[in-house]
Amino acid sequence: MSNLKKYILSFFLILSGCESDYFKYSIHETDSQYDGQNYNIKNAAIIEQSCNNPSEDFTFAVLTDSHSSYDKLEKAINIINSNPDVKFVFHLGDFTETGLLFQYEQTVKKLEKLKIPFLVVIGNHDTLGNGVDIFRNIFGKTDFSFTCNGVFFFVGNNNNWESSIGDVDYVKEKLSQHQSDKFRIIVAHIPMDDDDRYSDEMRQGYIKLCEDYNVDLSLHGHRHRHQYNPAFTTKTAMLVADAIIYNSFYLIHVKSSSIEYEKINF
Amino acid sequence: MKRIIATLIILLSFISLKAEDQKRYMPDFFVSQFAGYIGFISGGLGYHLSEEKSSIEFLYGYVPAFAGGIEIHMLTTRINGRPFVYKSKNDFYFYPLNLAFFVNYTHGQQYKLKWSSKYPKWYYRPTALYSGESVGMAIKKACNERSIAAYEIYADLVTMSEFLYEYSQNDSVTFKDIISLAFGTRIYF
Repeated sequence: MSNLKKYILSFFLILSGCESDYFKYSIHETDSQYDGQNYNIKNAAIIEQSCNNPSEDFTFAVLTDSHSSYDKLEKAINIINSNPDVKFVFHLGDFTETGLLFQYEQTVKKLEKLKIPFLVVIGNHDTLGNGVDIFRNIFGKTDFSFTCNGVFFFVGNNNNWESSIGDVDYVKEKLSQHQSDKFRIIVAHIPMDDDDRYSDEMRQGYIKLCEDYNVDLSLHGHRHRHQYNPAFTTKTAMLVADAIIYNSFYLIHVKSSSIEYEKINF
Repeated sequence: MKRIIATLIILLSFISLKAEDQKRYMPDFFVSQFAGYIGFISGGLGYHLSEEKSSIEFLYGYVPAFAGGIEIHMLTTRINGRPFVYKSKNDFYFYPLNLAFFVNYTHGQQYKLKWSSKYPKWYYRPTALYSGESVGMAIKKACNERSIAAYEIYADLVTMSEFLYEYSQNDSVTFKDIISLAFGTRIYF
């Protein structure tokens, strides 16, 4: 055997003995250690099972726009973990900078430290590259709904520039099935009053949907600044949450006749 | 079809070069690599910039779906610098430090070089282009075969600039999170 052949053979022997974890092939890979976890579906089912008393008040936490500030995300998670009143957590999206697997996995690593169920909304940054596929592989659906103590939540992907968004008729159908619930809350990353992204027709259509189907709260992130409009429609308040990168998150207190928010700065 | 025509034009223009020019453009070495963010396997050509100290490489990388979850094609341009060399008596050369910087282009509709005009300026970075860095070592063996002047094996620790930045911003991101091992060979003509 020539020297060259010996070198090539030993090279492949070394490779075969190494852990695959130490080899990465592209920044755009999609195979994750968290594939198949279906967090959104699994956790929504856990919430539905454990929160089925419509007369009980409850609190959930809202985090948004952590981008690549994983340490700040972890800090917020530690604060939430020390509050026994919080039933579950929403991350309202943009938990990555460019939708890379690395950024998804760093975020999931932090979210997994939560002692309570978490649900994740897809943000526009999370859709970039192979982001939508990675999201589905890890979290399951981008559009889903669940009920907690008589409050109906519809979660959707409204990143219309970057990806195909959900069917409005499906939202209407889901909302129509929950008209007798205590409250209805729509959760999506981008505020639906964004006049760059949404045409006048789309914005008016959303307002009409909120009014026709008695939506109580429209909950969003994306803008990196706090905005609260108690009269977004005659029946709906809109809360745009400030970003975690500015050291804040929210507690939403659902009471018997009102939904109140509390901004936590850390 | 366009690609075939472009390849033919490049080949024809190379053949039509004078023998002296042909020699100038002939690559100095062939490189192939396993892993390291530039493909499951990658291969390409390299040129010395300054004898033994620095080189430039052009590689095509491929990631099959079984390895990366999705099939990926990419092109990489890499500049290597190796400031030290130790020569042994039996024609072995040891390069204890090989530093490299590379720019990586990934082909595919979902990876953007330029964003459409509906996005405000600098709304997103180009997602088809990323840069990376590596540090490693190499062993080269000179040989007396007619067509091959030397062959080399190397090992690198590779990261991407994006990951390095996020590592610098977050205590919770570990060195292992941002690193890939890479192994490769170079055959010098």
